[in-house]
Amino acid sequence: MPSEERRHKERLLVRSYRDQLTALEAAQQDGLADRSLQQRLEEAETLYKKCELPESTVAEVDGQLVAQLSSELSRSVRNASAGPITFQPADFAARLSAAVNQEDSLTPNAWAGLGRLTANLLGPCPGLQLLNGTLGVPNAPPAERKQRAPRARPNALSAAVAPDKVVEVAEPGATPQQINRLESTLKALYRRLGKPISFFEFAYHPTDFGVTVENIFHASILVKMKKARLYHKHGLPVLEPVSGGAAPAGGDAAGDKHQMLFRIDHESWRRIVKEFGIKKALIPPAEGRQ
Amino acid sequence: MPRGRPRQSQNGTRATQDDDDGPLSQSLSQSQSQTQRRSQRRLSPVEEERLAARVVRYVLAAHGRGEPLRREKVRRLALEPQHGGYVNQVLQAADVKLRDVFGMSLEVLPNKRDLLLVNQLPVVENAPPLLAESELQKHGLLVAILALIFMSGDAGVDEDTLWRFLSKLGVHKDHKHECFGNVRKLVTEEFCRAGYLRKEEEVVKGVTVLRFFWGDAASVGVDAVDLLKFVCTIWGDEVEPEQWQEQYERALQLQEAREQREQARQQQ
Repeated sequence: MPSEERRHKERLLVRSYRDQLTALEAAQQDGLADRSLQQRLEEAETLYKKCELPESTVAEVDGQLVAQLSSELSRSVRNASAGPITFQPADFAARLSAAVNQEDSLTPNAWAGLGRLTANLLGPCPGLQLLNGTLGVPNAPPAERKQRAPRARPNALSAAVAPDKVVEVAEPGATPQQINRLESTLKALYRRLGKPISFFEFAYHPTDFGVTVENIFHASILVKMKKARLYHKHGLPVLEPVSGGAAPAGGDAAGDKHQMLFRIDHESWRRIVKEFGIKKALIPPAEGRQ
Repeated sequence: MPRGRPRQSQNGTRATQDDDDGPLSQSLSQSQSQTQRRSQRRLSPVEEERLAARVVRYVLAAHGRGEPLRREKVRRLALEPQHGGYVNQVLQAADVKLRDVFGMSLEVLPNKRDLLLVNQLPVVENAPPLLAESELQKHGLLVAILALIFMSGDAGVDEDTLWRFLSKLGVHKDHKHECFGNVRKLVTEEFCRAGYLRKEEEVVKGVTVLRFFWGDAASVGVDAVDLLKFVCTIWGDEVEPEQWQEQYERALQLQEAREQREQARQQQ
């Protein structure tokens, strides 16, 4: 037989021997014998008969397998002659599964069944587990509320729109163009709708909180300059333009102050946008800002 | 008589005394009597009753939450600061209340720091257990693990052996189980926190490995002989507990230790 073919055959035999060794080690670890030692020995004998060169590697692995089988056999003989039973975890697991009528993995019912079977082995009193929730920890001192100093607002804009004061007209950043843009938008809307415009729908931007604050700020300047009038209608604030010196209808005499004080923050802004269904900003964005 | 001053008779002369009645011995006997008085000082029955009730409530609440009972926490949360020195007296009174009213006893664990509630009610055969389904399932898992550790000997069980055993029952370390969820967390944290298991880390060939033993709660609360009988029932083949020689001897030792603890408690 050519040497290359012989070497190939030898490699196959060695692989078979190694498979046998691996299977025997796994069986020893688990403590479960899938085949008897006699069967394994006969298989080893069959494999060795196929070997053509006794001094090859095959002989070496054959020797290892026979040595392993011998030690396993002597262990079995020791156990058989000794009185006590050897505890093997895998064996115990198999018997535990069989005891709760399961073949392999335990189902949730099987685990509960095992728990019922062993209910009296552990100490906890059954009554406590029936409590609906747990008792509160008695006598624990209440958690102290830590008073935190109000966080300093770093944004100059947020400081400028603090809700507890009305700003003056000549504010830095309030350019005439922005005021005029707001006024012209207000007048156009008033002409188109023929009625006062809801302040929220006019000033609130659906997605930009900063623009909303700016719009409110500019609207307040318009009111201060008496170019717009802000009042309540049906419980909601409305805005309408005031044309040059005309006394506001249904309102007080000229020169009085129409002011509205309210707090605006992210949460209230979002709530109003949602409740009023504001989908689109009525005030167009400033130039260079989209 | 103040400490350190010699006793004076009415006429101002030093009275004759025996050596045992000298100034130093007097001060010693005075301090001894002060110590004795301090240790013998006890709370009034009314006060003891009141504080014992607080301890009982705390113990029940903590046990219901599954957290370990620590003596120090009982002293801090259940007793008032001025009564901190009466912990032993109050714990004994609380133990009597728990036994009489709830059928439980308050055991002090071997480390003297932790306490444990143990059921004292008699076992009623075939009585339906009063546990929720999820508790029964955890119960079953815990008993299986305790049985494995007990039967494996004093050396405990390493993590690999434990998970290989549980995998045969369909419980895998890294898979979410439909009953137990994160089983790894349940075994290594919840069961250990409750005191049923104790884990130790050991370094083997540079790798940190966990090894599991019975915890203090298991040593106190579980009857090892009953557990061995349970294993025999599972094993079948008409196996008797005596056939597990090493385990049987250990179970008897544990049972004897429990009986001695019970006798010591009854003598108090």
